[in-house]
Amino acid sequence: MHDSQGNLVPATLPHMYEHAFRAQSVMEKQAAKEENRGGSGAAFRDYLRLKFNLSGKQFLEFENSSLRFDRVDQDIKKRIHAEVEAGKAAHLKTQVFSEDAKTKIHNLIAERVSAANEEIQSLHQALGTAATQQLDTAVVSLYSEAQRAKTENKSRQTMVGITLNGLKTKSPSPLFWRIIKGDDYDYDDDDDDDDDYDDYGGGGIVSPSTDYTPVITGIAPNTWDAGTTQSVTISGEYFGTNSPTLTLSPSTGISYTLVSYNDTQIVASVTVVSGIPDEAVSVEVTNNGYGGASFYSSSGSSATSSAVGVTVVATCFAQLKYRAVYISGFNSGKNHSFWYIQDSNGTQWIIDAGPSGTCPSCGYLNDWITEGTVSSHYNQAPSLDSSAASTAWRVGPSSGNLCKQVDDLYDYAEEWGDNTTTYVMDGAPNSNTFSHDAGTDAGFTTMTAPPNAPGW
Amino acid sequence: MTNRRKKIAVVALIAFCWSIHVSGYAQTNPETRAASMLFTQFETVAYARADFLSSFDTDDKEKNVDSIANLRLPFGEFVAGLKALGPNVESDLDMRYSAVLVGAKDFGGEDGLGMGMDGLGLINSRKCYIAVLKDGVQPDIDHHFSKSSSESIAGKSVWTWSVPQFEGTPKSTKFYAAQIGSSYFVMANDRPDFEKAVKLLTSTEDSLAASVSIPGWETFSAYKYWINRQFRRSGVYSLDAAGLADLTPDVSSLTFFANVDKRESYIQVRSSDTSMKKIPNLVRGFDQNRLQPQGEGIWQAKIPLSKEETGTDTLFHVFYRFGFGMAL
Repeated sequence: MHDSQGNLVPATLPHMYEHAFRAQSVMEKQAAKEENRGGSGAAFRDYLRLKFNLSGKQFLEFENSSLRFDRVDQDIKKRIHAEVEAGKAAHLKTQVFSEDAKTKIHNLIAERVSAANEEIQSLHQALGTAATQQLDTAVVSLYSEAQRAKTENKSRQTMVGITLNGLKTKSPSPLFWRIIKGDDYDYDDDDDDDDDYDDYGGGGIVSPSTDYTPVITGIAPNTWDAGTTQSVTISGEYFGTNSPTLTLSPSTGISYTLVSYNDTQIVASVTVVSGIPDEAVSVEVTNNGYGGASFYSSSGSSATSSAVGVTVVATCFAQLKYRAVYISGFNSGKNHSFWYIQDSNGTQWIIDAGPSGTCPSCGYLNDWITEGTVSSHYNQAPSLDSSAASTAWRVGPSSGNLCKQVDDLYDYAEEWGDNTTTYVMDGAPNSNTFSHDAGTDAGFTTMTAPPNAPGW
Repeated sequence: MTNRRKKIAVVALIAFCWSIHVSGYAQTNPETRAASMLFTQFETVAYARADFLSSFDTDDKEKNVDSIANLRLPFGEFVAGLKALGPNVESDLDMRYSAVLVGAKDFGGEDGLGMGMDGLGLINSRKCYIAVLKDGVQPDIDHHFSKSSSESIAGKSVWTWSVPQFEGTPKSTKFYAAQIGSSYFVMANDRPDFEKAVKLLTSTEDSLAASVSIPGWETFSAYKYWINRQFRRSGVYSLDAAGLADLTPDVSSLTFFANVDKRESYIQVRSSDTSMKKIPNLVRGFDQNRLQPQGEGIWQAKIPLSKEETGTDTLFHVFYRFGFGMAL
């Protein structure tokens, strides 16, 4: 299609829907003529239903949209016609439309595009994801066929009759032929406006000058928690009907799968792995074209949208772990507890405590902070402090204040003075005391004690 | 004759020889005789019916909260040592023997066996275990010791084997074991202790088996589970490891005895302070007022064997006083 400056630009989905709506309107009129002649109009009314492979109920939605759009379309055509006539009258000598006249006409065209968009939205809502994708593809296909047929310029005069959906019509109207053969768009009975407007320097009137670069107008939600998978809806326009591409930057630990997509909306399942810190992430959408055809890059249009930012929020958790203490292979029935946490940097730690190892003078209660999921100190089964141990209490994963609490717990362990607190065999302070105090310092008021953990 | 058969024959012969020495004491109570021996050699002596030890082999000790589970602690090393020989050894011995006694001393000592404070687990100590036979006929348990070695001690062959020690230490514990006479199975984690125990149990002196001169013996020995400690305050390497931290010097002995079926237990403290004006501060977190005078210098408290954390915590502190403290 051409824009108002005469540039060849990629057709947009609304433009292609306008074509489909008009096609249906023509079919409705042709059906009415057939019925007035005593024949059946069913073949015409159902032509696109069969072509689009829609159910009766689904096609009813499309028919209604076509009828509504037709009313708007006809009204706008009249108003454009009036503007064109007025322009011709005012500029008989210069044969150039004034900027004011051009603006009026462009606004009317934009009004028509807006009406088409509304109908598309309405249709998409009514049809659901699967049928929407099916219809979008069919509409693009109808448009593409029309373009190809137009290019091939087949002679309509050779066709004296047509069998359509099993019914034969002997005298289809010229408008009908335009649909079947792919002539474009100005389906009223006077084709003058396009040419007149063009002659007067207005360019084609099928569309105002438009940048078809994908535009993201909204991403919801725009905060993504690390360690979660969530449904993200990207709204905007010119996303195409072929599977679009999302570009996330930085992308480490972030992945997505497309759930649904159309020209104006993408729904993706976005996974942010646990351990990603707070960071700003930019999102871009790349239009990969319509109806199987690749994106047509014209002057001023890019297949990739501008970036829109979202925020990845680190999630934190704290898990109070415990395990049995063994006497050789004998389970003593007493437990040693420790913490398994993920801090605001997305880093996981095992924080445990125990005797310093300086006995027999009995030593001190020291702690060990180990990055990862296995303690550097108690690291061999059955003396193993790891994330796989039983959990007495947990909180998270969550962001916000919990991250502060977890960081506080880490700080408590970091600031714990080794070789200063005498370790006591008789209950406290021991590792369970340390775990309790670290959790309390972090503000974990709902902690539940590990079972069989003296010293807690 | 294969080596295996030779070994069995040697062990059987030795057992037979030792039984000749003790045959003159068949009329004495073997359990009393064993207790008497242990009291002469060790600071803490504990007793449990064998069927009690095998009744708590649950899979979920970590999560189950039950005070009674604490009672197995003095016998943990015994169970662990036997299980190292095979999964069914302990349960088989529990069936064949009526009771198990343990004597313990040198808690946390420099040369003590078992774990030290460099890891988690039970405090190290020298221990000797004596299982007392039900019916006076030694069972054939040779097959349980197929993984063990044979070692000659005092001219007699005994089973020896080692198990990894407790958490956090590369050391291992070596066990010595043998069937003694017609009544006992003896196992120790220290060779001199083992030799001494065998020597005393096979001794011809009557005094060993005649009676136990521990105060309160007649009372607590009637229970199916008891522990007694006669506090020794010399040669203590670590007060905390020995369970003596904050214990006033007047406390001379501590006894714990339990009626497991009724979930009742008692602690009895004996003090040289007979004024009864000051209640001994004995168990951390324990309401001292629960200790009631039972006689001159004797205090006693009843402790329910509950299934609550407070109950298990109390017993944890009680067992600490007997030298069975744990690093957690």
